[in-house]
Amino acid sequence: MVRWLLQIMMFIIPLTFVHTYAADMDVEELLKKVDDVRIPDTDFSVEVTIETESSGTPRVSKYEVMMNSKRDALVKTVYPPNEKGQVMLMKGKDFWVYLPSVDQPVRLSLSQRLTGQVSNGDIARMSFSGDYKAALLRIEEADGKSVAVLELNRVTDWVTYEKIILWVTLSDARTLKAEFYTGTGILLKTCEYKKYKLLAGAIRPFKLTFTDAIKKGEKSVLTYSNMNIKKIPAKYFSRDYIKRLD
Amino acid sequence: MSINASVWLILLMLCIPTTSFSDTSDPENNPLPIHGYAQQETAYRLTEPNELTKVKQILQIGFDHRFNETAKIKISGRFFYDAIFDLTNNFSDRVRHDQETEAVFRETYLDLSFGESNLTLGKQQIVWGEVPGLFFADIATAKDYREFFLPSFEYIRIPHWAEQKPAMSIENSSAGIRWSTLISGWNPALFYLYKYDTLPTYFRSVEAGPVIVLTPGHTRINQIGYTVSKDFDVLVLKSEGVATTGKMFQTKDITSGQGVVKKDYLEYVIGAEFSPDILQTTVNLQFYQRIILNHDTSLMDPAADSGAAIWLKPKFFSHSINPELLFVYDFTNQDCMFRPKVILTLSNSWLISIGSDLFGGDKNGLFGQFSKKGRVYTELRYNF
Repeated sequence: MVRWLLQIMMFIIPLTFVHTYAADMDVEELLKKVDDVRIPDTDFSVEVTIETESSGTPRVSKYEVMMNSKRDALVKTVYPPNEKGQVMLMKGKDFWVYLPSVDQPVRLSLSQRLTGQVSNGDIARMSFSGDYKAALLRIEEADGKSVAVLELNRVTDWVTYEKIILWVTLSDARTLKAEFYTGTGILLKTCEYKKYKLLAGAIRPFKLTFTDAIKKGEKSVLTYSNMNIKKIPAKYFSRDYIKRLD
Repeated sequence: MSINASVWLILLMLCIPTTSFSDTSDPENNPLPIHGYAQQETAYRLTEPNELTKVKQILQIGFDHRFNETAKIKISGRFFYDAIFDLTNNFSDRVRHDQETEAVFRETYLDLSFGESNLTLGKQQIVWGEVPGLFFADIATAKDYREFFLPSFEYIRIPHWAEQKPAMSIENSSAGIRWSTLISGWNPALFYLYKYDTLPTYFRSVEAGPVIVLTPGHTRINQIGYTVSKDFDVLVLKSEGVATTGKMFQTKDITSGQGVVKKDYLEYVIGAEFSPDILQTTVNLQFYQRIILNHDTSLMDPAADSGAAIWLKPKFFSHSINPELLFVYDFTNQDCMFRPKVILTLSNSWLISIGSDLFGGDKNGLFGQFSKKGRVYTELRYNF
């Protein structure tokens, strides 16, 4: 009987703890802080390198990314030479790709945003708040820090993933890990935010490791560098200008 | 181009790939901001007489430089040499002169940025079309159809700073305006262009003999049109259309002075692109139609010409194997074009394409005229 009561208590106490935290914590505010840690909340540019290992074959891609405060994004491929000059423009739900061989911006569908372990959406959409509604699942301890485990469900239908589970430190709103799911609950990939350093005036994650949950052994490491806060002309984020980008 | 110049061009191209399928173009190791490609194209006719029809070397080089926040410059050029003219005697001097060698500036312009406005001065490609592959709304830029519709779209478009046929002058310039917007995912555009028709009209005359002489000429036309696209999550719908006034059409009426009559016509295309997960393939479907208004039976062109295209890009192979299938069928002429192709990525800089261009149907049709001229080809490309 005592053992049974103890088991009940062990179940109830953490729930109460979560409930207390949830009552005190503004989860949406925490998610906003997570975004502020990850990227500046104004116009900025950043260089992105993705090292992918698929079926034992390593592959390196390099991109220049520009994002404005409305979270419109431009992604220009600078390496490898076979893909150099390709530009992707994402304005909310709307998505164009400029291919030098076609020499014309081509509009693509939302579903074509999802390719590879690092999808186009992973590069061009770096923030969660606004796109997802957050709920606190539990509080965990990791390396002596309190970590909030958040469940993010999409509120807009054009984001890359329907559900995300996010591990976030309570002290400094750093993301430690994320799991990305389909609407039917299938785990697509995980991402570990392994390293942080000073980028554009704040300590931000600069090395993200994506692991494909469906294709075993496929992994991508995404590295941010040269992040700069700067005003980016609105004309850059238009279908008709992307061909002329530097 | 002389033989010496041709040899020099080949040597230049052979120098670009430094080692076999090696990659030397990491931007951090590339001190000069040049870009471009070297490409070798070989084609072989599948019908009698079975023989090589193309042994072409292409070199395209571009250079971009930004001076400051306001000004940047782009310079690019393309050179080609087709050795088929030295290897065979199958072509007339006129064809040889037209297609053996070429060295031209491609897009070469000064781009001036003033806040949210831009002024681009120089030779450039102005692309208004929305549907790739069909150039209905792509009216601002002339096209190079020396190899029909077969080269890449970038290759076909001719960048220009003015209409060059007839000779360049203010009187012969074109003027146009385009407006576009993005509202709730709809991306409509409207445009108007007043220009010389880039496709020639053949004016008929009778000379002593009597001999009927057809002389190509370019006449003024007005074009007004639209493009629109919308993403419906699972598919993207695209459409474009153009109304043209003042177009000269050839007539069979022998009483007609120059063998041409002026008519207006409409043309449009509706397309859908989608990627069903179950097929792991990008599917692009297009339907197009051209209608000549107030058509009369003496015209050599039909009153309406309709066709459809399907373009498949399977994605179930690895990243380095990219097959494509294009099939176009013209309902009016009952002729078709079938283009299977596979692009193999050999390394970060090297690609090889292996494919075939096959045609069938009425020999008077756009595609059927090549029904006995199907070919297989390879394109080896080094990007830098």
